[in-house]
Amino acid sequence: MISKLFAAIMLAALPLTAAAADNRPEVIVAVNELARGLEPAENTGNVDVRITYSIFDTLIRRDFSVQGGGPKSLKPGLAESWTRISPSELEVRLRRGVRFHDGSLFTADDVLFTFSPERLTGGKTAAIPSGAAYFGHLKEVRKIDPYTVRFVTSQPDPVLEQRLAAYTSWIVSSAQWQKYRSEDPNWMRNALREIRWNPVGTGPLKFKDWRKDQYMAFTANDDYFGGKPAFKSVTFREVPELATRVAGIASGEFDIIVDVTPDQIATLKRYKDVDVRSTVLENSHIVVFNMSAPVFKDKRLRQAMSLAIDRKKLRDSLWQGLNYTPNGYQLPTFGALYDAKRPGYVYDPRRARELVKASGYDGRAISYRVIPNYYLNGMEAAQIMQEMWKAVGINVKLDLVDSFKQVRSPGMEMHAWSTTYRIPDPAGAISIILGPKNNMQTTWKYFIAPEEFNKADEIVRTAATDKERLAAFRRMMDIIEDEMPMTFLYNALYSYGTKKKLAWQPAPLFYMDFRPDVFRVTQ
Amino acid sequence: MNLRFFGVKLFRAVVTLLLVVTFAFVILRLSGDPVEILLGDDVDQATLQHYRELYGLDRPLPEQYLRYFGGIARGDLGFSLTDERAVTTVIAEAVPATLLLGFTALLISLAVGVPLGIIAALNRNKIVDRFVMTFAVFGFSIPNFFLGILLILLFSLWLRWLPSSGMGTIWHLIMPAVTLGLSSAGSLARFTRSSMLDVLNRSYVRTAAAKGVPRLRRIAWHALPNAAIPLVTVLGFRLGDLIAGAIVTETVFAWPGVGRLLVSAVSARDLAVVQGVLLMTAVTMITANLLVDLIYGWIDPRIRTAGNSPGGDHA
Repeated sequence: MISKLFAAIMLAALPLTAAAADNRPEVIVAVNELARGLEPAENTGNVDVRITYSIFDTLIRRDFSVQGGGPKSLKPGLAESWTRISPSELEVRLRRGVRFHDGSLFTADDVLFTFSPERLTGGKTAAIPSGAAYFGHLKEVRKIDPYTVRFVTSQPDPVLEQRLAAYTSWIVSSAQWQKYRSEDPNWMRNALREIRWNPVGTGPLKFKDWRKDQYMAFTANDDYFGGKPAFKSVTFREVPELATRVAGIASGEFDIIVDVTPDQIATLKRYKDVDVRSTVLENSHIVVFNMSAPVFKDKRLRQAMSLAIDRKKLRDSLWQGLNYTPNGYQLPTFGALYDAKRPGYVYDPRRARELVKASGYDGRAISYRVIPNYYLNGMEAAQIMQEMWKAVGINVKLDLVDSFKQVRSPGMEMHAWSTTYRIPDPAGAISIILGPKNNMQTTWKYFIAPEEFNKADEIVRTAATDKERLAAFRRMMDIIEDEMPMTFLYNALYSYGTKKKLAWQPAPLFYMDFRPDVFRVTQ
Repeated sequence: MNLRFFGVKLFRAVVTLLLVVTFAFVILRLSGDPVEILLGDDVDQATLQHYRELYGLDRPLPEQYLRYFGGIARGDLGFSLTDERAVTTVIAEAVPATLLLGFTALLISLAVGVPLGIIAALNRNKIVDRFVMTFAVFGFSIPNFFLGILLILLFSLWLRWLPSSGMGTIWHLIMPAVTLGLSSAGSLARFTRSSMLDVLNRSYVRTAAAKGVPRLRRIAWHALPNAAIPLVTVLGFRLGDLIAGAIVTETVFAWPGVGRLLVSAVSARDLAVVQGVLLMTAVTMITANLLVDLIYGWIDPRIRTAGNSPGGDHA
């Protein structure tokens, strides 16, 4: 009788202990907009990678907490280790025993499929045509054995390791795609319609369900190879209005909110259990000058426009002084390719005035095209700069337009733009935006590059040693700081509101990392 | 209801629909390249061109226009550019949320606006009237986003009684429905008041009073049905507004309805979805107006025989 009673008590207590075992939080993240799709290479916008980053893994993972970046910030993801065979070959050994969310085993076949021409690298006929911008130079991925692959590029690529840790390198499940294979040559585009809303990855977030304009729900992948996640579930809720997101985190409905503007930081900090975590993005706001425009024929006027901008004043008044201006087209995370001593884009109104005079500028109004509300603080910055330019004798009128198509319609003299550092290396920034094959030189002709610039670019993209590359990169920066096809304002600040008990740090890209080594819960 | 009356109405409805679709098509095509917005600014020209071809956006505008019309005729509104699902599916997902919010708000505005208007009319120029009319002006002149945020601050942040946003339980419905309902309650109260004042002075109401009909019965049986005609007009507008009239409120409260869908589709230049929503909004508006015309005929037999409506054509 007593033993029966004891058993009954034990049985009754079981659910309790089970519940106590999983007291991990159900995390609610209020976002301005949900991902537009969950295929990790197809949608790489801010609102997309924020979510896909923790559904999928890359072979190599970039550790954002490592200061100075470079190769030492790269650590194993789905790869166990990697070795350089030659300047254009990289051998990667894969982690064993990793399972996708659907239970299938991760092997070399998934890597081959992920980087296949029909999915990613084949250009406009590929399921994801934009993939060629990242991996168009990938000749093949060779399977050595089920857990070893070799990446071969058509030209030496000194930063292939960085590329494998960045945008569009997330590994997808070959088995999931093959389920949709058919005779139809367009089968992959058709498959995308299904796969986009049914992601199968290896990451800590396991897809549960979604409703357009409402939420995307994920449960913890407790078999994650990086350890058991610190949450029970993560739900992204779409709350477009910032005031509503702020009220929601203050009232305790949300655990994390995104897209907090600088002026809301002080409001949020007033709440005891809420913390604001900011990161300065690896994205620079810039002003582009059209070297082909008659008014900018003399480079001294372009130089004067850059010298007239008091960037500290802009940062202090628009970003509460919480961000920085990069010293040249580079970031400290470029590692060995960072030129720390470079002064970069300076403020010198006196010199600016001299240059304006010397350039023979006749005082006519120069058009500055801006898309209102496209960049945070973009309009405000334009208005402040208009006054700064006026102070050195340059007359700028703001032309508000609706789209980049209108920005680049005939008559373009200067416009507001931004540049993202896709990988922490000049090959992922200056080479992409200003290189000989890019629109700035080819289609739009805003940058008329000296021959020397394009030669240096070739070295930056393909040379094997850091020394050669750094010398060439410095030359490229010298040239653009003299020719001035663009000038830098600052890197944008991005802030989250978060419950204090959630220990995590935002990355300088739009990723939100829910892996157990980054996302923890403290009591 | 004669056939000619109905035929003219129907013809006008179709012409209106044609105009709406054409207008939307032209404006949206002129204002931005959907592929550029979809793929971002830093994609090479060849890829942009490939997508334009894929979606038929490289064809001449008249051809795109005809194709679109052909699709509508077959009941095919096309695919959303952003997620490649059928437009009809995308819209069908959003409609129930909007109807739930819209009808709740309509009930609130009726339940608040009509009695207040009657009370004000019966107490014309007294303190009660002033008070009610102040409330009415406040109700329809305060912007929805402002009232919405005030409610959130009060009930979510301060009192912590109601969830700030989203959809799920009945608690989620209260604040957006009240926000939306109060603004139309204000104008409804004003309309009720003026049309009640109008009929209260009519001879048949005075006759009823002279015959000794009790006051309550006089108001409910003699005055109200006659005062209802202008109200039906206003309600017709509200009904037409149900689908796309809650854009701001839906955004503030993250309510996943048609208004939100329209905002996100416009900013993404998702042409097919925008056109679908506009088409549906136009259909609701036109249907609501037709209904109003029919109801007029029912409550006021004079309109039927005249073959025209006193409310005018709102389409």
